[in-house]
Amino acid sequence: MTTGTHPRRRRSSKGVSSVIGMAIFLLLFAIAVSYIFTWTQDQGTYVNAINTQANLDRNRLSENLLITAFNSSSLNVQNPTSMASVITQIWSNDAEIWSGFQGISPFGNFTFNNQTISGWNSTALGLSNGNFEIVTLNGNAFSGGVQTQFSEAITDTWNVTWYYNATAGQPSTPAGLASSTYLGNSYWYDLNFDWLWSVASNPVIANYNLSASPASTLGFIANTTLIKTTGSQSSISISYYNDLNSTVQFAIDGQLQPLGTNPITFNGGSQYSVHTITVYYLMNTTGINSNNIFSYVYSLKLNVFNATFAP
Amino acid sequence: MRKRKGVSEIVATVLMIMIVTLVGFTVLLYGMGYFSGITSARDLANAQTIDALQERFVIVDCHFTNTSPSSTTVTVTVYNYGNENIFISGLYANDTPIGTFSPVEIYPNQNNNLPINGTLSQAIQGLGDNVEIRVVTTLGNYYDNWYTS
Repeated sequence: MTTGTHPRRRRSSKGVSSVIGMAIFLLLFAIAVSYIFTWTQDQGTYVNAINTQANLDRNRLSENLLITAFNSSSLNVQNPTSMASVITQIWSNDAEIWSGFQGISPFGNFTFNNQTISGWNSTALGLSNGNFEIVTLNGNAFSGGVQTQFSEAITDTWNVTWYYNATAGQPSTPAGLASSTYLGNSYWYDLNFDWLWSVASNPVIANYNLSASPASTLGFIANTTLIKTTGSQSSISISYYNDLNSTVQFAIDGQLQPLGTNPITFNGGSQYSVHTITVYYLMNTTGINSNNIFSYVYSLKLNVFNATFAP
Repeated sequence: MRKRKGVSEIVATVLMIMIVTLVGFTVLLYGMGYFSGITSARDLANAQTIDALQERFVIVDCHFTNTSPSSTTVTVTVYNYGNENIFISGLYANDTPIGTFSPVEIYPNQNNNLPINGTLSQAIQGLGDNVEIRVVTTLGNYYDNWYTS
């Protein structure tokens, strides 16, 4: 009895323990594996979502549009990139003047006005001030407006600052010119001029006492920015022609060039390097002649080689 | 004696199988429920994270109107350029919550943007002041920028 029951009891207990142990183990194992599986799957979905957003961000950052406004109700949008853009909104003066979907092909352009596209908000268009903001499908916003003559003038031109020496004697140096009386600014597309103040009653002569002897001096300092169009193997060259009674001196990148040097040459380094050019021009007026007429024709003509205006 | 032992062994085996099966099923069902709960929670958290990641919006216009000497209305237009609806739940000017703002749902690529209006209890001092405007979504994303009052 004793010898017959003990081994069976022991075997029976061992069997239950093994089965339960196995079940618990399998359960824990299944939970762990399943959780890892779920976590991995979620991570995969998350990484895919990040990749998708990264692609959208990449497209967004690649987008660039140039806006040229003609007036308060017409604008041209140019796409200089190799990626198509879709315009969804146009705003001006805090009013949405147009909404829709208008594609701009790569390297293409589209002019928005009520002749080329429908959907304008006429009430909002009436509020337009010529400054536009366009919104794209990628969430970018670009702006541009009607340029004033002043803002157009400050690029691609010479910024000319006029001076007048009210006191007797003439400033013979650029520094002397700059220290005389400031008159104002103007903007010239080039420095080629040729004029004759023919009579002493001319307002310029009268205002600035140019007919007096010794005469006062009128002059200007003209600044511009040039970009070199050739490589380092060639130099930028500026040749000039002026009347015999005026003085012209140049400064390149702030360095004053020797008086009388013509043409002015400087290497400037690599292609597309940017340089500031300053021209000092002094009119050496000596008064009017016996016929009450200025005898001098004032002129300046410049030729620039291997460079162009910076935009 | 032998007969009773035979019956006892069968019953014991059956009982043992039943108990083991019961315990096994109990543990299995509990485990499945636990696993299902964890999976659901994990999926939900992941979905919310992805939803937050997919929110894409920008302020396309903001302007200010002085309605009284001590009150300024801020009107902000938000463009949703993503693929999910967004819910704007907060509007701030210079880190100050704007009081009378009510949450707005904005659909993807919604062109007829609904302006979001909020009123500052204190007027912004002086025309031309720069004000930092921030919009916040229910998922915690925000967009901010500086605008001139």
